[in-house]
Amino acid sequence: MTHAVLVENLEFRYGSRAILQGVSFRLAPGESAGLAGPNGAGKSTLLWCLMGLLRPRSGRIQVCTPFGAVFQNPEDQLFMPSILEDAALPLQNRGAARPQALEKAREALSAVGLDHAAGRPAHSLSAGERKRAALACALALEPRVLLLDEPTSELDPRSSRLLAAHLNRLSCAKLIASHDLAFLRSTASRLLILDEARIAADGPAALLIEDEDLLLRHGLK
Amino acid sequence: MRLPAAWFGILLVAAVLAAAEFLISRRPPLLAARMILAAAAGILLFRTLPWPRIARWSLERRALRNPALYFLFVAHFIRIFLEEILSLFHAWRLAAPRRWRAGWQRSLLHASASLFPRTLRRAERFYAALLLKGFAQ
Repeated sequence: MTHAVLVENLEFRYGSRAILQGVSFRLAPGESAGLAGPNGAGKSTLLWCLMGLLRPRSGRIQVCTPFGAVFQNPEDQLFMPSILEDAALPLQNRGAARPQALEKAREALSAVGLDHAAGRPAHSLSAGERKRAALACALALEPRVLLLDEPTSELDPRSSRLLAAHLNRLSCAKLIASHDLAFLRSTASRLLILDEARIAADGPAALLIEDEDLLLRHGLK
Repeated sequence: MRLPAAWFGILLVAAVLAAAEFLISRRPPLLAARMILAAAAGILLFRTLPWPRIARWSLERRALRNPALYFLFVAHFIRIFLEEILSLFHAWRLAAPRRWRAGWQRSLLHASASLFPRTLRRAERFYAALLLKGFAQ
């Protein structure tokens, strides 16, 4: 496969309301792209379609496996007695032996700076730590594609910078849905703007983020 | 000593049960007494047993792994439900602080009804997380 993510003519509807219409794009392996757009533009729906959790009405989707995902509310992803167990669980479910799964989970937690909290449950962590724990769960799978939904929501500027630094160290392809243009500028080389169910712009992130008219037109400023 | 908040609800239900038992069958409130005993035993178990350690111990044993996971899913879902109840009723109390005034009951009714779609949305995200973790594939 020459691409990490392929989306062609994707269409998704809730009843008669089109959420995504004619959406097409590709992500190369290792490419990092931001997905911006106003509220209700369809960013989360697009990510859920890519994860296979929603079935589109028509169109083609290909996502390289294994892929990892971080939800907007990571507490829904973390439910084991400790975040170490949370990170090991998907590996065990895919057939890894428990000691190997725990070892990989430890490495993933260490990669996001959470080795000190490995034995703690998610509800005892701060919002920033929970985001990084969810990221560690995704990284434990050694994903080729990482899908992140509003990764900076509820994070203070310091936690956002820390998360950006961790993401920039990863070599997998990344699709980051966010309103936070400063975060997207620091983590993505390309930006897709989704508005009124369609891709309204697709280009270098640094260039599009400087285009005030474009941002105003699509409710990003 | 202050009684934990949960006990007010338990005692209220027990009182209603005792009254119903007395009015219907004119007998001592055995059902209510049993209910209070069961609730006390449940709270005692919940407070004293080291649940995270028990869960970890069970997850390490092949035969107990699936029941332990089931227990963890249920516990997580109960936590989601309680979180939603708390945040919903905090918001409702801020919006409708004066009891028994116009609209108080109606706003309580709407707040209670909105609990179900909210919990459903959280449950949907939890189910999505389970799918991504390799369950049900």
